[in-house]
Amino acid sequence: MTFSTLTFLLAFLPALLLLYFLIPKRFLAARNAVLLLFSLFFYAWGEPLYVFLIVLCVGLTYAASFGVVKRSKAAFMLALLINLVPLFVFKYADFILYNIAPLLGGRVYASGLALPIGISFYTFQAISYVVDLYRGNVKLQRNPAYLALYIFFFPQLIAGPIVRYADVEAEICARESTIAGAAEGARRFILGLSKKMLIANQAGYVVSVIQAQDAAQMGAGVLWVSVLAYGVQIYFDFSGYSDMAIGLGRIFGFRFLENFDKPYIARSITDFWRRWHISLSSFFRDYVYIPLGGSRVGVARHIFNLFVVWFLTGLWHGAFWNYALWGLYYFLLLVLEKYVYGRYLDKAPALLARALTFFLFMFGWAIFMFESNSLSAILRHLGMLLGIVPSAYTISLRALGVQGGVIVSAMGLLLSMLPLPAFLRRLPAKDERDTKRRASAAVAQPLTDAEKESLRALLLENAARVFERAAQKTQSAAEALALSKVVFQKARETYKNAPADASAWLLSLCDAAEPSAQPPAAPDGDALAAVLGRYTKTIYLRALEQLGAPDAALDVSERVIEKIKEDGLPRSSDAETAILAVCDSMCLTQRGKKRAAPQRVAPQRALARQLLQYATLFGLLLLSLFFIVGESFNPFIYFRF
Amino acid sequence: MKRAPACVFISLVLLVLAIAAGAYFVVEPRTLSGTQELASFPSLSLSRYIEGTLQTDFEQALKDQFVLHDQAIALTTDCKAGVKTLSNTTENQLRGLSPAAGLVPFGEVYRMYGTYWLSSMPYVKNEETVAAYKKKAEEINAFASAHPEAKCYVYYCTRAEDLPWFDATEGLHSFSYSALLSSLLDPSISFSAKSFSDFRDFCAQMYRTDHHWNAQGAYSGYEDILAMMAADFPVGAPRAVQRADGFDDLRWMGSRYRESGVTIAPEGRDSFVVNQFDLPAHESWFGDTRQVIGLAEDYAQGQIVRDPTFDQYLNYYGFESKPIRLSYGDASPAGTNLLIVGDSFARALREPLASHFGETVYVNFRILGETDLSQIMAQYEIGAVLFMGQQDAWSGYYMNGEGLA
Repeated sequence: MTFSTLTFLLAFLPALLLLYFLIPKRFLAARNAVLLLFSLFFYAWGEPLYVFLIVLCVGLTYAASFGVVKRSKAAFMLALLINLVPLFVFKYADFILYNIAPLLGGRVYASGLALPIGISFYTFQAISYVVDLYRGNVKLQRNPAYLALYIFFFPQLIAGPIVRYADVEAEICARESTIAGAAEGARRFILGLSKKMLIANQAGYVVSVIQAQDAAQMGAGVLWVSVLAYGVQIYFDFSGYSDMAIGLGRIFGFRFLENFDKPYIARSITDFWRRWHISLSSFFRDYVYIPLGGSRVGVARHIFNLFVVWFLTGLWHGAFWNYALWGLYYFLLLVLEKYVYGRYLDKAPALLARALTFFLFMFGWAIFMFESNSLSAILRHLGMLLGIVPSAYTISLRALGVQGGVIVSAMGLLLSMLPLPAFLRRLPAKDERDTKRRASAAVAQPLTDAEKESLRALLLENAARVFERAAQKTQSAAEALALSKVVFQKARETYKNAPADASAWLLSLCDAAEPSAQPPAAPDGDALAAVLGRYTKTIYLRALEQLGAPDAALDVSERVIEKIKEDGLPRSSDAETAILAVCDSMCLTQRGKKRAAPQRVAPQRALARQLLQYATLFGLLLLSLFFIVGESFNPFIYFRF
Repeated sequence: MKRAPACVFISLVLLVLAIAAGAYFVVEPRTLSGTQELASFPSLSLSRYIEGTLQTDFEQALKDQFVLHDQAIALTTDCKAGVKTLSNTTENQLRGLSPAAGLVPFGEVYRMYGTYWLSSMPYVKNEETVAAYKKKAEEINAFASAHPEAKCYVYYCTRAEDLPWFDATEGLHSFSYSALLSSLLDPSISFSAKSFSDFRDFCAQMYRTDHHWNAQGAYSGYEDILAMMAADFPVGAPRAVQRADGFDDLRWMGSRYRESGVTIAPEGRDSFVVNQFDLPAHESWFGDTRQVIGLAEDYAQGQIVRDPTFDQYLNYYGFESKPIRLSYGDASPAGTNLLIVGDSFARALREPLASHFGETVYVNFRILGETDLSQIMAQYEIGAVLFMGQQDAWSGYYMNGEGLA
């Protein structure tokens, strides 16, 4: 069952909503039981037999977790095998058999096993729990139903995002479902459904029609159209699905991390992987790349680490050689970006850098979309795309009847690069802000004015030390700044019980804190990031000096870094002076902002905007429903008698 | 009060889902939408659930029984056609062409030169289809060799998609499958194809909303076939049309309508006219049963289904679920018997054509692909064999060669 079916929208979802919200809030365990049962049904609807496999895996993982939490290597390895063996058998057995066929006398054997839906996603979720438990980053989940709910929870079960246990650990046991949260979840779900039905499917039609044509009639131009349409299809399909998953999670009180962040405006391949399928790239970063040594190793070892990560990333997407090739393509690009052309890319005008990056990842889709184990066929396809292998003649898009889909794809491409219209963006609702405030107040006791002043001085005094400790814990300057913010927030919440040694207390907070709010870094840095890493502390100290407020200094430092990333490094011979000039200018603006009266949107206008948003969303829901039904119409099912 | 919009929004979303879901319990299930058969809800079955067919059937039933099913299809098709039309019109204007130049999108099909005559996109060369033609030609050649006692003829029924008139406007390289077929046949086999001198001629001979030829087109095909056979048999001149019967107020929509997904305005629909001939006395058999073929008498008595989505062409001439035999006796001019291996195009001309032969057996291979033709050849002492059909008759599944030789 997928979210864009009537079975889900008109049968499964209404029944679940009805049952879930009929149970009073205080009976969270009962609500969780409903979610778990429905999630099992959701999976069993598509996989009547494999549902037992996933239940078995979860059961065994649960049993092994008691050993894992005691740091037992054997239990840890066992827990990993419990999850990796099914993935290997179901997903890669045929691939292996195909590739060892020459050793078996040329006969190709096949296991005949169908791939269980979502196995790549829920396996990684289970692994993240096991590894984090082994590392001591999360607590043991003693309730098997709750562990099952984490892995089974239907919104992210079959197509991600790959949710970390640490991110939902608290929410499984204590969460609040509000009207505003449900409205926000519904907004996100409808946007995702519209992305899938109104854009991804139309772009997909273009791709399928062109792919069904005789290759000899496909000129490079038409093939490029299919590649661009595929880029639109995969982005809107996948990000739409993530939107629906995040929205559904929100309806039930869960907050999943974002999975996409406008990847098609990336200005480098590194940047692209910070924005595309974030939950997967951060999984590989945290569970493969960093354990291998990350980038803090010699050049050869770093290149090897990148190779491993990208080969695995490629194969994770599918057990065909084109996916492996696709992963290796990104490995090559990232090595080149890191060691060869990255510095030029940093200095290049933003538009040029973005255009080059756009071409590179679109070419990547050309490899990705051509599912094949034949290297010669893949190369021939790429040769036709580049105009090296000529075609007999070119058929027009109009003759293929796909011009409508091409227009929708072009609009989709534009939409993927532009910000969401204001009236479709999230509007923080008053009751949600109140909830946040109440939740925050429940944790932190209010500080007196004197305590606030004392804490401010303390943070100011230790800001540089905290930043340094944060920089040691993280991979990039941006992450260090974000982690510092987390530490300051924690400090405010717990200041009343702070020990006498304030400096050690702040550093211990930093050691305990997890960088949760920052954007995940890609597995490697680029030349610009290296320069920024060198100057970030200088920028931060300068901002502290100018503003005298640690939080504001963190904000300004982040904005300075963003600006330099956008505009490139200052062309002045003295980079530090130029960067500090940018920082000074930002500090001036910040002080001006502080003095200026806060702008408030008139209540009537906000209400009108919200009503417009809801009306638009309502229209999109109806249109998507109609498209789900309308697309079942197949003009070719009629016989010509 | 601040929560009101969110509450209203959530309520509306839930209401839509509830109404759409609740309607399945209230609205009577339908079996047909136009001529499209609609899926009904499957009964529960463990084996079908494990196979996965229960789930797909359930989803299909939800779509087909959706309370606004027809409106949803019309809206979806209109949206897609609207964008396509916008694109074509803009392109035509940029190229200095009339907005109605070439093929104008209409749902999932096209209006030829913006008129009510509908077509799909013309055929282009497709290696798989070419291979199928080669196989089919080999089989016909083999059949002709295996039956030297009979003369073989092939007649290609040209459709809108065969016309090479839209290459420039649509940017395609249309491909003549009739020329391909002609080139692949043994010289001993006579070949002919339906042709149209121009679009006006096409409009006069073909239905607007159906892919078949109308009465005038069928008569023209009948003349072509007789002219082809006249070189070998004394078939005589084509019989004159005594009168063309039209049926008042009968407007119908054929296969193009079903393919388009949109409803055609009354002025764009087809009238239904049939030729009446003064034929000699004859007998007709449907399989082994002696009976009148088709519903000509019912139509003449006014017993006509007037639903515009009803397929009049099929209904009038009859569905050939068994071989049809027409017997004119020894007085026929050709002095031999005829086997027609054809498709639906043969329906409209089988009666006048059969009147030139003693016995005529018509097998619609689209429906009766397993028929043993050799047995028919021997049983009825066939002296002439006519293979006739439209493009997919030669490349498709229903004349796939099984039982031909």
